[in-house]
Amino acid sequence: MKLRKETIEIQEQLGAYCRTGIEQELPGITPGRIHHYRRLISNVVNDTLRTAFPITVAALGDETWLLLVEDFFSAGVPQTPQVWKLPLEFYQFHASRESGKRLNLPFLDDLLYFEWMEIEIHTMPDRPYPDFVNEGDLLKDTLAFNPEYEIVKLEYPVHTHPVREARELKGEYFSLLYRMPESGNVQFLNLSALNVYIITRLQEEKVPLNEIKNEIARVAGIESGRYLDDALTKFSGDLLERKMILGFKEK
Amino acid sequence: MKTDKKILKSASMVAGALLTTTLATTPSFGADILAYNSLGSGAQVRSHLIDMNSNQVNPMETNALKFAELKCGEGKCGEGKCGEDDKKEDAKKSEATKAKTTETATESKSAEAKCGEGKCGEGEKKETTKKSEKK
Repeated sequence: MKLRKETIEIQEQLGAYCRTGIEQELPGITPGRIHHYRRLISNVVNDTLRTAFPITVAALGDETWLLLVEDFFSAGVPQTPQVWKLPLEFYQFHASRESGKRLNLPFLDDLLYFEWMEIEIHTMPDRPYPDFVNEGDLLKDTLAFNPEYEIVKLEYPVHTHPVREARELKGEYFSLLYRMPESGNVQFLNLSALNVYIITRLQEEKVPLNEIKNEIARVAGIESGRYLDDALTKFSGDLLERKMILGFKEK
Repeated sequence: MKTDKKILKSASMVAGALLTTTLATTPSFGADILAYNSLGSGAQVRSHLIDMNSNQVNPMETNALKFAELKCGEGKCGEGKCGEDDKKEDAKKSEATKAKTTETATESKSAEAKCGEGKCGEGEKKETTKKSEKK
């Protein structure tokens, strides 16, 4: 049903009041009661965001947290009609305004993003699984990876350290998040750059580990020998057990 | 957008990190150069990080823990009314058998799902969501 122009205007004014708290006269509103709308909506937004970012809340404390929420709520103009996506908009808002830099919380982007990614991986649409068999050779056969994963690159190790320590450890860190095939639970791995290199190269080339072994040795600065074979077998075998690798592609 | 920069899709994006980190963190041939660590499930990671961050000078630590427990919106669907206890036990059992990941980590109070799907009937809901997304 198409709303009248006047109705749309009133709705927008009410929305603006709920976000900013700046009172204005609205037709049909009983004096002294309008603040309840703001209180109720603000509670819903705050609860949703607290639920999505409990680590950030713990790390920042309530005062700073409320500052971030208030800033987002009043100036962010959330667009999504899906409440579960509100945390993404929260992250994007503060990343674009460089709130972390302004508040001297350089790790803020990473922390919000890391927390959002769990929701993203948990809720994302299914990705097609490859055909695979359970029996095979970890070095000689092409590995079939679980497609429901993302590797997140972080500047601060907020996934392994409390923020007080993480802020002093600026660098390049990698966390792999993937969805378990049956339960849908999200699992987290803390990877080295070399681990990430191997996984991404295997995904790009779709070849057995043996075929990129020399390249890995060169990148790692070691000889391609039995030591590397053992390390690769252990690494890929472990990922297989964890269901990040599903099995082996059919020949 | 900044979001995309943080997701790593190509091996070339890790080239810089390889130069600075791999060799530096590879102590010797005796150590496993491909060693990595599992952080566990979402609930375990949350519990661990909240705990670590709450130990800092932070007056709101108790609140933060409380929020962690409510992460999946359970407060709204009526905690305890929809077989939550059974669900928690089931989750613990399956976590124990399926995820070898965190032998030492204790199962947290925080629920697995964080997306507002709810603790109660989370599995069913997820299936429904997926089906509808396929459509």
